[in-house]
Amino acid sequence: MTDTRRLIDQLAARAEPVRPLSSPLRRTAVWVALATLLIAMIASVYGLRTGLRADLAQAPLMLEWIASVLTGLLAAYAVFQISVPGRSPHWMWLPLPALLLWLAGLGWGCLRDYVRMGADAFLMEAVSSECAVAITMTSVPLGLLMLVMVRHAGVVRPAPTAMLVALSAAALSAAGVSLYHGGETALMVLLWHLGAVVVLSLLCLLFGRPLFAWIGYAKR
Amino acid sequence: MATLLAFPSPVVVEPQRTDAMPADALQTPAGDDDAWSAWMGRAQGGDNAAYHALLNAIAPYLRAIARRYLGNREDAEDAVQDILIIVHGVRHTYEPGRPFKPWLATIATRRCIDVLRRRARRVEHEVLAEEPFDRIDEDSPGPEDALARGQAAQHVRRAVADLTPRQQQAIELVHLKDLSLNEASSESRQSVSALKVACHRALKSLRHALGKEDVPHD
Repeated sequence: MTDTRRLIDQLAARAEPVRPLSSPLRRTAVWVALATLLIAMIASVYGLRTGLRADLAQAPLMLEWIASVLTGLLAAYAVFQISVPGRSPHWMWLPLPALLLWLAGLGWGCLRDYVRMGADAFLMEAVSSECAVAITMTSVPLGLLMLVMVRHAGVVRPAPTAMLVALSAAALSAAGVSLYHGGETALMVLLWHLGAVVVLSLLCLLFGRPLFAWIGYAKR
Repeated sequence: MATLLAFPSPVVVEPQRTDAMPADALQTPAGDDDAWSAWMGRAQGGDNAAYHALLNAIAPYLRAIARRYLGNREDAEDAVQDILIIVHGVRHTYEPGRPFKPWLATIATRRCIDVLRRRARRVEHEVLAEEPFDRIDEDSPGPEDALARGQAAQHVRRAVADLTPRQQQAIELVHLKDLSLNEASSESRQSVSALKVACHRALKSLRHALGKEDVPHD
């Protein structure tokens, strides 16, 4: 008790002014702007792929791309909600409908490819794995930036926050990679794009606690 | 330790004493949340007095949460101090105007859960650490003894393997499981006299194979 009272005296003596966090919506907007800037820079270096305009003119492909962007945006908003103490943990389910829509779009694409190409639709192309590498390379700086923005989440919900950080960064990166790398079957996109997103998210879910202990305010 | 500073009393609400924990600390009056929220708002602006009042006021509430999770008074008090340090470290995450208690309760319960998790890990680690020692005899043999014992055991196993199945069964039931002849008879479906003969012959064979001193006498 005495120690606690003494600690309170010490902490109160060190009450420097702090700036409260902005609203989750504003922080999402800031992060998405930074992510868009980085992805646009990478896309401009590689140049937009040929056939992008034609692909995006097709409703299913357009919908699939929008779903991937939406997954990234909603996951980012969920991160800025659940990383703050006192906010509902149910926010973590926010990106799920968009993720399912993305998955459904890719599933529909696989069926369409099968009707159009037959067994060739399921050929494995090792070269397509470049996508997963590109998505991972883009996700790492984006994810680290976001982790720094929510470094206080270590004392609230480290694992789900880290998972959503990875989901957001990887989904937006996947949408970005689609702009300059394409010509694959829907199965390859499902495997390498969505696969990379899922793997990165699960890794961050597993290592969320040590990640926050390393990057921010988390007690072991 | 920091020098004690004199803090002017805040005019909002009389702070509770930290050494008195009300029985219904978890059901503090609704007015508390407004007061705590107002104090936190001022504390974020650098108001030491409001911050001091706030920390004093929330300590019993935190203590009630910590005791509910951790039970042990000492652990609970350590947790309260940890939570206060965390509150200080993340006080910028409180958004003025929002309810203060859910913000504080989330931090407090998460910290208590972390302590419980660490406690469980420590117990698990202690159990694992004790296990190997449990399996070691206090006067465990050196490498030469162990080798000699291993060779002797191999010798015995070979000698037992050379017995007939009936003799092996008789030895196992009468000498190893320590059953009476009647019990061994009903379990092996051999007559008592057959068992006696089998044991006698088995022991004779083992004596021959191993030497008299290694074989227990019946």
